[in-house]
Amino acid sequence: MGKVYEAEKVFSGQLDRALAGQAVQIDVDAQDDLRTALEFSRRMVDLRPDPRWQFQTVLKVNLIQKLKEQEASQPSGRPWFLKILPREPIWQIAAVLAVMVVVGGVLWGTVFRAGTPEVVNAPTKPLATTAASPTQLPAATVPQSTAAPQPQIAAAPAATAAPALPFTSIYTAPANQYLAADGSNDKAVYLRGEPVRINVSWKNLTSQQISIQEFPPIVSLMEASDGQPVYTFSAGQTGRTISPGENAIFTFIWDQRNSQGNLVSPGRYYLELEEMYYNGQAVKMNLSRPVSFEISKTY
Amino acid sequence: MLTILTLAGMVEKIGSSAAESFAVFYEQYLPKVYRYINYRIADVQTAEDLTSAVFEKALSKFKSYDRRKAGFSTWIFTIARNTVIDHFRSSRQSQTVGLEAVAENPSPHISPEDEADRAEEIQLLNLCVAQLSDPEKEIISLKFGAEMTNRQISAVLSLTESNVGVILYRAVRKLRDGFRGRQNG
Repeated sequence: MGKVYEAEKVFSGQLDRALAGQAVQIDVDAQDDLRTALEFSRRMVDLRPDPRWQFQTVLKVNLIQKLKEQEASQPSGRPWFLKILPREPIWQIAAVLAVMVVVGGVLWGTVFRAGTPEVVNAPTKPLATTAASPTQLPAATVPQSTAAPQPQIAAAPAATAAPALPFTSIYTAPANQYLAADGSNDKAVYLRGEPVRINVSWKNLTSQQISIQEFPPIVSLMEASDGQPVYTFSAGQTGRTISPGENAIFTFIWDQRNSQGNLVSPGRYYLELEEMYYNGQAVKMNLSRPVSFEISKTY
Repeated sequence: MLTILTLAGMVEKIGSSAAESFAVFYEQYLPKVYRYINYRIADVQTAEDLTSAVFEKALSKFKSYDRRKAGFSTWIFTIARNTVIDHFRSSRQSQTVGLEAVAENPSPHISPEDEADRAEEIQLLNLCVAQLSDPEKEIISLKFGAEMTNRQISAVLSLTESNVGVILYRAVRKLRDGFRGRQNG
């Protein structure tokens, strides 16, 4: 019974590896039953059907159209004063408390202290970096050593240097939206061996600067038939700062060779952006329009 | 223009640009939902119709999805599962197994002969899947189609994780034996 349970655990683990596109590691000492079950499941993974390309495209267009119609027919869900509040209740409470602290501080400073002479000189450091802090104490009571917490921009490089996070930002909101990626290529069908030019742009959607430590980020060319990468462009060696609203554009030129230097087979390929990271969290990049193309059989 | 999002954050953002968020969601889940359904219903046309139905339902419920209640994967495959159950209830059709699935979607790197062999293998596999019990079929579909972990499957089917593992292992061995038997017979 114990052996069966162990075999089932090994089987599930190895099957998950196969489904993730990783190699299945079959122990030479494994029972024949387990080994053949794993080999068969690997074959099942290979035999899985894919949805037809035309079906995918037509359905996507229909759904986006319906969604836009829905959006157009519905009035905006939340009034403007609620839209500026975060959606999570805990952040809503935090925001309300922050506003109360700031308002209380202002009232205390202007009403209750009005007419009394200043006891302490105004702080010598500008308050700009602390003004947004909801927990800011009145200036007169703030000790010099804690008067100015480090702004996020100063902390970012040190915090992200160690495990090489490729993407840092001074954008401090708990946001999940920083950059919009878009891509285009010059032709729908390329001759075999013909260079493929792909433009990819990253637009800063925030109101503050975004720094990408390694620009351009990693992109891969994938084989449409099996979704496997055939060639990956490494990340750039230098950083790039993108201003609010700015589009950072990079042109990739692919010589149709795989990572072993061989010409890839004719067929359909598409571009995929690798994940980027913010504060250690993986952020998957997606293109607004799929960049896909065909490589013909003729040279 | 599509924005970068984590999957969990995608729904949070839905209020401001639903079309873009839905596009992300679609790209990620369409193949899995289709494969899940295709394991349950081998007929390509029906599988496509039901896949469309799943995404239309998801679209209408997208704004009401609460990520604190269920993971995205669990949510969409619960819709898919219910859609398949409704289909079986309403049509009472027997499952059909056809070669058109492969013929309409040929791989560019496989010769016609290999493609025919592959089609035959898929047909054989579909026949073997049809012989499994309902829980086994369900788990095979969620595993190989939806690419769920045993833990995710256990959440969808209200089974324990170890129970899912046991049923999965048993089902694959049945399929292996059935497949061999039909190939040799």
